Amino acid sequence: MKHADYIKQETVTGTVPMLSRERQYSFWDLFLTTSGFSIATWCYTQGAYVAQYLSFTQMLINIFCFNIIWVLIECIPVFFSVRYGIDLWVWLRSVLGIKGVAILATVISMANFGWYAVDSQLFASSMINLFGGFGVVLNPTIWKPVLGVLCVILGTLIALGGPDVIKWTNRFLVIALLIVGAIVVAICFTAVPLSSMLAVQPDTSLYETGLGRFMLSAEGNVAFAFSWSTQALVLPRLAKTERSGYWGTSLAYGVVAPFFVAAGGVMAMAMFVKAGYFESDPTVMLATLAGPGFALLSLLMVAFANIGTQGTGSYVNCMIIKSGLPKVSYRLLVILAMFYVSALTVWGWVMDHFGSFISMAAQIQGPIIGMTVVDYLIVKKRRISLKSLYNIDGHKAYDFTYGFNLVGLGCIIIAFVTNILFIYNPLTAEIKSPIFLILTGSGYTAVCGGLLYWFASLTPLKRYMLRDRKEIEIE
Amino acid sequence: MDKSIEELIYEETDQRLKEMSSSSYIFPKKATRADYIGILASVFICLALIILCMTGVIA
Repeated sequence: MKHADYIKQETVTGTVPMLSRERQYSFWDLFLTTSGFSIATWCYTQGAYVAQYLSFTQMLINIFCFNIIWVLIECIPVFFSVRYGIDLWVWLRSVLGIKGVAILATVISMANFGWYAVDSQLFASSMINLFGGFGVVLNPTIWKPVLGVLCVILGTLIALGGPDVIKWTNRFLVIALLIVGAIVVAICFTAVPLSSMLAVQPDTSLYETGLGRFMLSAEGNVAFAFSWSTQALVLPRLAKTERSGYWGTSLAYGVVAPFFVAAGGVMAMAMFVKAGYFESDPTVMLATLAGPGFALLSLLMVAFANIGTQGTGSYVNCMIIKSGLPKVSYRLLVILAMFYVSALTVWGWVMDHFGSFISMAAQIQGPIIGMTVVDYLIVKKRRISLKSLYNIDGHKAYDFTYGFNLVGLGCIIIAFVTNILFIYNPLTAEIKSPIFLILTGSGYTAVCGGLLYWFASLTPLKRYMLRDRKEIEIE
Repeated sequence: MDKSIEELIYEETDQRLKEMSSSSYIFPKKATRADYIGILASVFICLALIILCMTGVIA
Protein backbone atom coordinates (compact mmCIF):
# COMPACT_ATOMS: atom_id res chain seq x y z
CA MET A 1 0.00 0.00 0.00
CA LYS A 2 1.29 3.49 -0.87
CA HIS A 3 2.28 5.79 1.99
CA ALA A 4 -0.45 8.33 1.15
CA ASP A 5 -3.12 5.62 0.94
CA TYR A 6 -2.01 4.19 4.23
CA ILE A 7 -2.20 7.57 5.95
CA LYS A 8 -5.66 8.16 4.47
CA GLN A 9 -6.76 4.79 5.77
CA GLU A 10 -5.33 5.48 9.23
CA THR A 11 -7.13 8.83 9.32
CA VAL A 12 -10.54 7.49 8.35
CA THR A 13 -10.35 4.09 10.02
CA GLY A 14 -7.63 4.76 12.57
CA THR A 15 -6.61 7.07 15.38
CA VAL A 16 -4.76 9.80 13.50
CA PRO A 17 -6.48 13.20 14.09
CA MET A 18 -8.74 14.23 11.25
CA LEU A 19 -8.15 17.80 10.02
CA SER A 20 -10.99 20.23 9.32
CA ARG A 21 -10.56 20.03 5.55
CA GLU A 22 -10.90 16.23 5.55
CA ARG A 23 -14.27 16.05 7.29
CA GLN A 24 -16.86 14.11 5.29
CA TYR A 25 -20.06 14.35 7.35
CA SER A 26 -22.67 17.13 7.34
CA PHE A 27 -25.45 17.20 9.97
CA TRP A 28 -27.66 15.02 7.78
CA ASP A 29 -24.90 12.53 7.01
CA LEU A 30 -24.09 12.09 10.69
CA PHE A 31 -27.73 12.11 11.76
CA LEU A 32 -28.73 9.50 9.20
CA THR A 33 -25.68 7.30 9.76
CA THR A 34 -26.07 7.39 13.53
CA SER A 35 -29.81 6.79 13.23
CA GLY A 36 -29.16 3.82 10.96
CA PHE A 37 -26.83 2.47 13.61
CA SER A 38 -29.34 2.94 16.42
CA ILE A 39 -32.42 1.49 14.72
CA ALA A 40 -32.59 -2.28 15.09
CA THR A 41 -35.05 -4.88 16.32
CA TRP A 42 -33.82 -4.49 19.89
CA CYS A 43 -35.73 -1.18 19.93
CA TYR A 44 -38.98 -3.15 19.70
CA THR A 45 -37.80 -5.59 22.37
CA GLN A 46 -37.10 -2.68 24.70
CA GLY A 47 -40.44 -1.00 23.91
CA ALA A 48 -42.47 -4.16 24.44
CA TYR A 49 -40.77 -4.69 27.82
CA VAL A 50 -41.63 -1.20 29.08
CA ALA A 51 -45.19 -1.37 27.72
CA GLN A 52 -46.12 -4.17 30.10
CA TYR A 53 -45.45 -2.25 33.28
CA LEU A 54 -46.57 1.33 32.58
CA SER A 55 -49.61 3.22 31.41
CA PHE A 56 -49.55 4.53 27.84
CA THR A 57 -48.61 8.12 28.81
CA GLN A 58 -46.02 7.07 31.37
CA MET A 59 -44.50 4.68 28.85
CA LEU A 60 -43.94 7.47 26.31
CA ILE A 61 -42.48 9.82 28.94
CA ASN A 62 -40.28 7.08 30.35
CA ILE A 63 -38.91 6.12 26.94
CA PHE A 64 -38.29 9.59 25.54
CA CYS A 65 -37.34 11.61 28.62
CA PHE A 66 -34.77 9.29 30.19
CA ASN A 67 -33.15 8.70 26.82
CA ILE A 68 -33.07 12.40 25.90
CA ILE A 69 -31.61 13.52 29.24
CA TRP A 70 -28.79 10.98 29.35
CA VAL A 71 -27.95 11.13 25.67
CA LEU A 72 -27.72 14.95 25.76
CA ILE A 73 -25.38 14.71 28.77
CA GLU A 74 -23.18 11.88 27.54
CA CYS A 75 -22.78 13.55 24.15
CA ILE A 76 -21.30 16.78 25.56
CA PRO A 77 -17.71 15.64 24.85
CA VAL A 78 -18.71 15.44 21.17
CA PHE A 79 -17.67 19.11 21.06
CA PHE A 80 -14.11 18.03 21.83
CA SER A 81 -14.28 15.17 19.38
CA VAL A 82 -15.34 17.45 16.51
CA ARG A 83 -12.91 20.22 17.37
CA TYR A 84 -9.79 18.06 17.22
CA GLY A 85 -11.00 15.27 14.92
CA ILE A 86 -10.25 12.75 17.65
CA ASP A 87 -12.65 10.20 19.10
CA LEU A 88 -13.59 9.94 22.75
CA TRP A 89 -11.38 6.97 23.42
CA VAL A 90 -8.27 8.96 22.64
CA TRP A 91 -9.43 11.63 25.14
CA LEU A 92 -10.01 8.87 27.67
CA ARG A 93 -6.26 8.17 27.67
CA SER A 94 -6.09 11.26 29.90
CA VAL A 95 -8.75 9.88 32.27
CA LEU A 96 -7.83 6.20 32.45
CA GLY A 97 -4.21 6.18 31.30
CA ILE A 98 -2.91 4.90 27.98
CA LYS A 99 -2.85 1.23 29.02
CA GLY A 100 -6.08 1.62 30.99
CA VAL A 101 -7.82 2.68 27.78
CA ALA A 102 -6.29 -0.18 25.81
CA ILE A 103 -7.73 -2.70 28.27
CA LEU A 104 -11.11 -1.04 28.88
CA ALA A 105 -11.66 -0.25 25.19
CA THR A 106 -11.12 -3.90 24.35
CA VAL A 107 -13.27 -5.19 27.23
CA ILE A 108 -16.14 -2.78 26.51
CA SER A 109 -16.07 -3.45 22.79
CA MET A 110 -16.13 -7.19 23.44
CA ALA A 111 -19.22 -6.56 25.57
CA ASN A 112 -20.71 -4.18 22.97
CA PHE A 113 -20.44 -6.91 20.37
CA GLY A 114 -22.96 -8.83 22.47
CA TRP A 115 -25.53 -6.33 21.19
CA TYR A 116 -24.74 -7.37 17.63
CA ALA A 117 -25.25 -11.02 18.49
CA VAL A 118 -28.71 -10.03 19.80
CA ASP A 119 -29.24 -7.99 16.64
CA SER A 120 -28.46 -10.95 14.37
CA GLN A 121 -30.53 -13.39 16.44
CA LEU A 122 -33.54 -11.06 16.30
CA PHE A 123 -32.96 -10.79 12.57
CA ALA A 124 -32.99 -14.59 12.28
CA SER A 125 -36.11 -15.18 14.38
CA SER A 126 -38.05 -12.40 12.64
CA MET A 127 -37.12 -13.74 9.22
CA ILE A 128 -38.26 -17.24 10.24
CA ASN A 129 -41.58 -15.75 11.44
CA LEU A 130 -41.89 -13.77 8.23
CA PHE A 131 -41.40 -16.87 6.08
CA GLY A 132 -43.84 -18.73 8.35
CA GLY A 133 -46.46 -16.04 7.68
CA PHE A 134 -46.28 -16.94 3.99
CA GLY A 135 -46.44 -20.69 4.58
CA VAL A 136 -42.71 -21.43 4.30
CA VAL A 137 -41.74 -23.28 7.48
CA LEU A 138 -38.06 -22.99 8.38
CA ASN A 139 -36.66 -25.23 11.10
CA PRO A 140 -35.36 -22.79 13.77
CA THR A 141 -32.66 -25.19 14.95
CA ILE A 142 -31.01 -25.02 11.54
CA TRP A 143 -32.08 -21.65 10.20
CA LYS A 144 -31.63 -19.48 13.29
CA PRO A 145 -27.84 -19.79 13.36
CA VAL A 146 -27.61 -19.74 9.55
CA LEU A 147 -29.64 -16.53 9.14
CA GLY A 148 -27.97 -14.96 12.17
CA VAL A 149 -24.49 -15.52 10.76
CA LEU A 150 -25.69 -14.27 7.35
CA CYS A 151 -26.72 -10.98 9.01
CA VAL A 152 -23.25 -10.69 10.58
CA ILE A 153 -21.50 -11.37 7.25
CA LEU A 154 -23.57 -8.79 5.36
CA GLY A 155 -22.90 -6.22 8.08
CA THR A 156 -19.19 -7.00 7.89
CA LEU A 157 -19.19 -6.23 4.15
CA ILE A 158 -20.62 -2.78 4.90
CA ALA A 159 -18.06 -2.21 7.67
CA LEU A 160 -15.18 -3.14 5.36
CA GLY A 161 -16.30 -0.36 3.01
CA GLY A 162 -15.56 2.23 5.74
CA PRO A 163 -17.45 5.45 6.59
CA ASP A 164 -18.23 6.41 3.00
CA VAL A 165 -20.09 3.16 2.27
CA ILE A 166 -21.76 3.38 5.69
CA LYS A 167 -22.85 6.95 4.94
CA TRP A 168 -24.47 6.08 1.62
CA THR A 169 -26.07 2.89 2.93
CA ASN A 170 -27.69 4.75 5.81
CA ARG A 171 -28.69 7.78 3.77
CA PHE A 172 -31.33 5.69 1.97
CA LEU A 173 -31.97 3.14 4.67
CA VAL A 174 -32.88 5.51 7.49
CA ILE A 175 -35.30 7.56 5.42
CA ALA A 176 -37.08 4.35 4.45
CA LEU A 177 -37.07 3.14 8.06
CA LEU A 178 -38.51 6.41 9.38
CA ILE A 179 -41.34 6.21 6.85
CA VAL A 180 -42.03 2.58 7.80
CA GLY A 181 -41.91 3.50 11.51
CA ALA A 182 -44.55 6.18 10.95
CA ILE A 183 -46.71 3.73 8.95
CA VAL A 184 -46.42 1.13 11.71
CA VAL A 185 -47.56 3.58 14.40
CA ALA A 186 -50.46 4.63 12.16
CA ILE A 187 -51.41 0.94 11.67
CA CYS A 188 -51.48 0.45 15.45
CA PHE A 189 -53.81 3.38 16.01
CA THR A 190 -56.03 2.25 13.14
CA ALA A 191 -56.19 -1.36 14.34
CA VAL A 192 -56.88 -0.46 17.97
CA PRO A 193 -58.60 2.69 19.33
CA LEU A 194 -56.38 4.97 21.38
CA SER A 195 -58.92 4.85 24.23
CA SER A 196 -58.41 1.08 24.49
CA MET A 197 -54.66 1.50 24.76
CA LEU A 198 -55.07 4.25 27.36
CA ALA A 199 -57.29 1.87 29.36
CA VAL A 200 -54.67 -0.93 29.52
CA GLN A 201 -53.81 -1.64 33.15
CA PRO A 202 -50.08 -2.10 33.84
CA ASP A 203 -48.82 -5.47 35.05
CA THR A 204 -48.08 -5.01 38.77
CA SER A 205 -46.04 -8.19 39.20
CA LEU A 206 -42.74 -6.36 38.56
CA TYR A 207 -42.94 -4.20 41.72
CA GLU A 208 -45.68 -3.33 44.17
CA THR A 209 -45.58 0.48 43.78
CA GLY A 210 -46.11 2.59 40.68
CA LEU A 211 -42.88 4.49 41.37
CA GLY A 212 -40.93 1.22 41.59
CA ARG A 213 -42.32 0.02 38.25
CA PHE A 214 -41.63 3.42 36.67
CA MET A 215 -37.99 3.41 37.81
CA LEU A 216 -37.39 -0.27 36.95
CA SER A 217 -38.61 0.55 33.45
CA ALA A 218 -36.39 3.65 33.53
CA GLU A 219 -33.41 1.42 34.38
CA GLY A 220 -33.90 -0.26 31.02
CA ASN A 221 -34.11 3.07 29.22
CA VAL A 222 -31.10 4.58 31.01
CA ALA A 223 -29.13 1.41 30.19
CA PHE A 224 -30.33 1.78 26.60
CA ALA A 225 -29.08 5.39 26.50
CA PHE A 226 -25.77 4.42 28.11
CA SER A 227 -25.24 1.62 25.63
CA TRP A 228 -24.49 4.21 22.96
CA SER A 229 -22.06 6.20 25.09
CA THR A 230 -18.81 4.42 24.37
CA GLN A 231 -19.75 4.10 20.72
CA ALA A 232 -21.28 7.58 20.35
CA LEU A 233 -18.13 9.59 20.11
CA VAL A 234 -16.38 7.76 17.29
CA LEU A 235 -18.36 9.03 14.29
CA PRO A 236 -18.54 12.75 15.29
CA ARG A 237 -14.84 13.21 14.47
CA LEU A 238 -15.98 13.07 10.85
CA ALA A 239 -18.37 16.04 11.34
CA LYS A 240 -17.74 19.43 9.79
CA THR A 241 -18.96 21.64 12.67
CA GLU A 242 -19.47 21.22 16.41
CA ARG A 243 -23.19 21.89 16.02
CA SER A 244 -23.69 19.27 13.32
CA GLY A 245 -21.59 16.78 15.29
CA TYR A 246 -23.47 17.26 18.55
CA TRP A 247 -27.03 17.44 17.27
CA GLY A 248 -26.51 14.85 14.54
CA THR A 249 -25.39 12.41 17.22
CA SER A 250 -27.70 13.28 20.10
CA LEU A 251 -30.91 13.57 18.06
CA ALA A 252 -30.25 10.15 16.52
CA TYR A 253 -29.63 8.39 19.84
CA GLY A 254 -31.93 10.57 21.95
CA VAL A 255 -34.97 10.90 19.68
CA VAL A 256 -34.86 8.54 16.67
CA ALA A 257 -33.88 5.39 18.59
CA PRO A 258 -36.47 6.11 21.35
CA PHE A 259 -39.07 6.73 18.64
CA PHE A 260 -38.61 3.13 17.51
CA VAL A 261 -38.64 1.94 21.12
CA ALA A 262 -41.93 3.81 21.54
CA ALA A 263 -43.21 2.28 18.28
CA GLY A 264 -42.40 -1.14 19.78
CA GLY A 265 -44.26 -0.17 22.95
CA VAL A 266 -47.31 1.05 21.04
CA MET A 267 -47.33 -2.13 18.94
CA ALA A 268 -47.03 -4.27 22.07
CA MET A 269 -49.96 -2.44 23.71
CA ALA A 270 -52.05 -2.70 20.57
CA MET A 271 -51.25 -6.42 20.48
CA PHE A 272 -52.36 -6.75 24.09
CA VAL A 273 -55.68 -5.08 23.33
CA LYS A 274 -56.24 -7.17 20.21
CA ALA A 275 -54.73 -10.55 21.12
CA GLY A 276 -54.47 -10.48 24.92
CA TYR A 277 -50.69 -10.80 25.18
CA PHE A 278 -47.62 -8.60 24.80
CA GLU A 279 -45.38 -9.37 21.83
CA SER A 280 -42.02 -7.87 20.80
CA ASP A 281 -41.47 -9.34 17.33
CA PRO A 282 -42.53 -6.73 14.74
CA THR A 283 -43.31 -9.42 12.18
CA VAL A 284 -45.84 -11.16 14.44
CA MET A 285 -47.26 -7.83 15.64
CA LEU A 286 -47.85 -6.49 12.12
CA ALA A 287 -49.30 -9.78 10.89
CA THR A 288 -51.77 -9.81 13.81
CA LEU A 289 -52.68 -6.13 13.67
CA ALA A 290 -52.94 -5.63 9.92
CA GLY A 291 -52.73 -9.00 8.18
CA PRO A 292 -49.81 -11.06 6.77
CA GLY A 293 -49.31 -8.70 3.80
CA PHE A 294 -48.28 -5.90 6.13
CA ALA A 295 -45.73 -8.18 7.78
CA LEU A 296 -43.65 -7.52 4.66
CA LEU A 297 -43.01 -4.05 6.07
CA SER A 298 -41.09 -5.76 8.81
CA LEU A 299 -38.75 -7.08 6.14
CA LEU A 300 -37.42 -3.55 5.91
CA MET A 301 -37.63 -2.97 9.65
CA VAL A 302 -35.84 -6.17 10.49
CA ALA A 303 -33.65 -7.18 7.60
CA PHE A 304 -32.20 -3.91 6.40
CA ALA A 305 -32.19 -2.21 9.80
CA ASN A 306 -30.33 -5.04 11.49
CA ILE A 307 -27.80 -5.43 8.70
CA GLY A 308 -27.17 -1.65 8.69
CA THR A 309 -26.69 -1.76 12.45
CA GLN A 310 -24.24 -4.66 12.13
CA GLY A 311 -22.19 -2.68 9.60
CA THR A 312 -22.00 0.60 11.49
CA GLY A 313 -21.57 -1.18 14.83
CA SER A 314 -18.66 -3.21 13.52
CA TYR A 315 -16.95 -0.04 12.25
CA VAL A 316 -17.50 1.86 15.50
CA ASN A 317 -16.41 -0.91 17.86
CA CYS A 318 -13.37 -1.83 15.81
CA MET A 319 -12.41 1.86 15.92
CA ILE A 320 -12.74 1.76 19.72
CA ILE A 321 -10.42 -1.24 19.94
CA LYS A 322 -8.04 0.47 17.55
CA SER A 323 -7.82 3.50 19.83
CA GLY A 324 -6.22 1.20 22.38
CA LEU A 325 -4.34 -1.01 19.92
CA PRO A 326 -3.41 1.36 17.06
CA LYS A 327 -0.98 -1.05 15.37
CA VAL A 328 -3.66 -3.62 14.53
CA SER A 329 -5.19 -3.08 11.06
CA TYR A 330 -8.83 -2.05 10.80
CA ARG A 331 -9.65 -4.77 8.27
CA LEU A 332 -8.20 -7.48 10.48
CA LEU A 333 -10.25 -6.23 13.43
CA VAL A 334 -13.46 -6.22 11.37
CA ILE A 335 -12.82 -9.80 10.23
CA LEU A 336 -12.05 -10.95 13.78
CA ALA A 337 -15.20 -9.19 14.99
CA MET A 338 -17.21 -11.10 12.39
CA PHE A 339 -16.04 -14.44 13.78
CA TYR A 340 -16.56 -13.31 17.37
CA VAL A 341 -20.11 -12.03 16.80
CA SER A 342 -20.97 -15.13 14.76
CA ALA A 343 -19.83 -17.31 17.67
CA LEU A 344 -21.91 -15.25 20.13
CA THR A 345 -24.89 -15.50 17.80
CA VAL A 346 -24.73 -19.29 17.59
CA TRP A 347 -24.11 -19.56 21.36
CA GLY A 348 -27.19 -17.46 22.22
CA TRP A 349 -26.33 -16.63 25.85
CA VAL A 350 -26.59 -12.86 25.47
CA MET A 351 -30.04 -13.07 23.92
CA ASP A 352 -31.25 -15.32 26.74
CA HIS A 353 -30.04 -12.81 29.37
CA PHE A 354 -30.81 -9.60 27.49
CA GLY A 355 -32.10 -7.48 30.42
CA SER A 356 -29.23 -8.40 32.75
CA PHE A 357 -26.73 -7.98 29.93
CA ILE A 358 -27.66 -4.41 28.99
CA SER A 359 -27.96 -3.34 32.62
CA MET A 360 -24.61 -4.90 33.56
CA ALA A 361 -22.84 -3.36 30.55
CA ALA A 362 -24.40 0.03 31.35
CA GLN A 363 -23.03 -0.06 34.85
CA ILE A 364 -19.48 -0.28 33.55
CA GLN A 365 -20.18 2.47 31.03
CA GLY A 366 -21.98 4.67 33.60
CA PRO A 367 -18.92 5.75 35.62
CA ILE A 368 -17.00 6.38 32.39
CA ILE A 369 -19.80 8.69 31.20
CA GLY A 370 -19.84 10.56 34.52
CA MET A 371 -16.07 10.96 34.63
CA THR A 372 -15.79 11.99 30.98
CA VAL A 373 -18.34 14.78 31.32
CA VAL A 374 -16.88 16.00 34.64
CA ASP A 375 -13.35 15.79 33.28
CA TYR A 376 -14.25 17.67 30.11
CA LEU A 377 -16.29 20.45 31.71
CA ILE A 378 -14.90 20.85 35.23
CA VAL A 379 -11.56 19.16 35.81
CA LYS A 380 -9.67 19.75 32.55
CA LYS A 381 -11.97 22.57 31.48
CA ARG A 382 -11.87 21.52 27.81
CA ARG A 383 -8.07 21.85 27.61
CA ILE A 384 -5.88 18.85 26.95
CA SER A 385 -2.32 18.03 25.88
CA LEU A 386 -2.72 16.52 22.45
CA LYS A 387 0.98 15.65 22.34
CA SER A 388 0.67 13.59 25.52
CA LEU A 389 -2.40 11.82 24.13
CA TYR A 390 -0.16 10.48 21.37
CA ASN A 391 3.17 10.37 23.28
CA ILE A 392 4.71 12.86 20.83
CA ASP A 393 8.18 14.36 21.52
CA GLY A 394 8.51 12.64 24.86
CA HIS A 395 5.27 14.13 26.23
CA LYS A 396 4.00 11.47 28.60
CA ALA A 397 1.62 13.25 30.99
CA TYR A 398 -0.96 10.48 30.59
CA ASP A 399 1.33 7.58 31.44
CA PHE A 400 0.35 8.05 35.12
CA THR A 401 1.28 4.81 36.91
CA TYR A 402 2.73 2.36 34.38
CA GLY A 403 0.07 3.49 31.88
CA PHE A 404 -2.88 3.38 34.31
CA ASN A 405 -4.64 6.38 35.90
CA LEU A 406 -5.36 4.86 39.29
CA VAL A 407 -7.80 7.63 40.23
CA GLY A 408 -9.96 7.10 37.13
CA LEU A 409 -9.89 3.32 37.42
CA GLY A 410 -10.62 3.54 41.16
CA CYS A 411 -13.73 5.66 40.47
CA ILE A 412 -15.05 3.04 38.04
CA ILE A 413 -14.52 0.20 40.49
CA ILE A 414 -16.05 2.06 43.46
CA ALA A 415 -19.11 3.18 41.47
CA PHE A 416 -19.66 -0.30 40.03
CA VAL A 417 -19.20 -2.22 43.28
CA THR A 418 -21.22 0.15 45.51
CA ASN A 419 -24.07 -0.02 43.02
CA ILE A 420 -24.16 -3.82 43.00
CA LEU A 421 -23.83 -4.04 46.79
CA PHE A 422 -26.06 -1.18 47.93
CA ILE A 423 -28.23 0.25 45.12
CA TYR A 424 -29.34 -2.27 42.49
CA ASN A 425 -28.27 -5.71 41.40
CA PRO A 426 -28.89 -6.07 37.66
CA LEU A 427 -28.49 -9.84 37.72
CA THR A 428 -31.37 -10.33 40.17
CA ALA A 429 -33.21 -7.01 39.40
CA GLU A 430 -33.22 -6.38 43.16
CA ILE A 431 -33.66 -2.79 44.39
CA LYS A 432 -31.46 -2.34 47.46
CA SER A 433 -31.80 1.37 48.21
CA PRO A 434 -34.30 4.23 47.78
CA ILE A 435 -31.54 5.96 45.78
CA PHE A 436 -32.53 3.64 42.92
CA LEU A 437 -36.01 5.22 42.94
CA ILE A 438 -34.41 8.59 42.16
CA LEU A 439 -31.43 7.81 39.92
CA THR A 440 -31.86 4.19 38.77
CA GLY A 441 -28.88 1.84 39.15
CA SER A 442 -27.17 2.83 35.91
CA GLY A 443 -27.80 6.52 36.61
CA TYR A 444 -26.25 6.09 40.07
CA THR A 445 -23.01 4.70 38.57
CA ALA A 446 -22.70 7.76 36.27
CA VAL A 447 -23.42 10.27 39.05
CA CYS A 448 -21.19 8.42 41.53
CA GLY A 449 -18.30 8.05 39.05
CA GLY A 450 -18.50 11.74 38.09
CA LEU A 451 -18.73 13.00 41.68
CA LEU A 452 -15.87 10.79 42.91
CA TYR A 453 -13.67 11.99 40.08
CA TRP A 454 -14.54 15.61 40.81
CA PHE A 455 -13.96 15.23 44.57
CA ALA A 456 -10.60 13.60 43.85
CA SER A 457 -9.62 16.65 41.80
CA LEU A 458 -10.26 18.84 44.86
CA THR A 459 -7.72 16.90 46.96
CA PRO A 460 -3.91 16.62 46.61
CA LEU A 461 -4.65 13.99 43.92
CA LYS A 462 -5.21 16.96 41.62
CA ARG A 463 -1.46 17.07 40.88
CA TYR A 464 -1.58 13.43 39.77
CA MET A 465 -4.68 13.97 37.63
CA LEU A 466 -3.56 17.22 36.01
CA ARG A 467 0.06 16.61 35.09
CA ASP A 468 -0.60 18.03 31.64
CA ARG A 469 -1.24 21.69 32.47
CA LYS A 470 2.18 22.91 31.32
CA GLU A 471 2.02 20.98 28.07
CA ILE A 472 -1.11 22.45 26.52
CA GLU A 473 -0.09 23.97 23.21
CA ILE A 474 -3.32 23.85 21.20
CA GLU A 475 -6.23 25.85 22.63
CA MET B 1 6.70 0.53 3.03
CA ASP B 2 10.12 1.15 4.54
CA LYS B 3 8.86 2.46 7.84
CA SER B 4 6.95 0.53 10.47
CA ILE B 5 3.25 1.17 10.97
CA GLU B 6 4.00 2.73 14.35
CA GLU B 7 6.52 5.17 12.84
CA LEU B 8 4.12 6.19 10.09
CA ILE B 9 1.29 6.87 12.51
CA TYR B 10 3.64 8.78 14.82
CA GLU B 11 5.03 11.00 12.06
CA GLU B 12 1.64 11.72 10.57
CA THR B 13 0.10 12.52 13.94
CA ASP B 14 3.02 14.81 14.81
CA GLN B 15 2.67 16.65 11.51
CA ARG B 16 -1.08 17.08 11.99
CA LEU B 17 -0.73 18.36 15.54
CA LYS B 18 1.81 20.91 14.29
CA GLU B 19 -0.65 22.03 11.65
CA MET B 20 -3.41 22.31 14.25
CA SER B 21 -1.20 24.43 16.49
CA SER B 22 -0.36 26.90 13.72
CA SER B 23 -2.21 30.20 13.75
CA SER B 24 -3.46 29.65 10.20
CA TYR B 25 -5.33 26.43 11.05
CA ILE B 26 -9.10 26.86 10.99
CA PHE B 27 -10.91 24.69 13.51
CA PRO B 28 -14.48 23.52 12.80
CA LYS B 29 -17.10 26.13 13.61
CA LYS B 30 -17.85 26.21 17.34
CA ALA B 31 -21.20 25.58 19.00
CA THR B 32 -22.96 28.73 20.14
CA ARG B 33 -24.98 29.79 23.17
CA ALA B 34 -28.14 28.67 21.35
CA ASP B 35 -26.85 25.09 21.36
CA TYR B 36 -26.18 25.15 25.10
CA ILE B 37 -29.58 26.73 25.79
CA GLY B 38 -31.18 24.02 23.65
CA ILE B 39 -29.45 21.32 25.70
CA LEU B 40 -30.41 22.82 29.06
CA ALA B 41 -34.02 23.50 28.03
CA SER B 42 -34.48 19.94 26.74
CA VAL B 43 -33.03 18.44 29.92
CA PHE B 44 -35.25 20.59 32.17
CA ILE B 45 -38.44 19.84 30.23
CA CYS B 46 -37.73 16.08 30.33
CA LEU B 47 -36.85 16.26 34.01
CA ALA B 48 -40.11 18.06 34.78
CA LEU B 49 -42.15 15.39 32.95
CA ILE B 50 -40.30 12.61 34.78
CA ILE B 51 -40.96 14.25 38.17
CA LEU B 52 -44.66 14.57 37.30
CA CYS B 53 -44.74 10.82 36.60
CA MET B 54 -42.73 9.93 39.71
CA THR B 55 -45.04 11.95 41.95
CA GLY B 56 -48.14 10.44 40.37
CA VAL B 57 -49.42 13.69 38.82
CA ILE B 58 -49.21 11.96 35.43
CA ALA B 59 -50.58 8.50 36.11
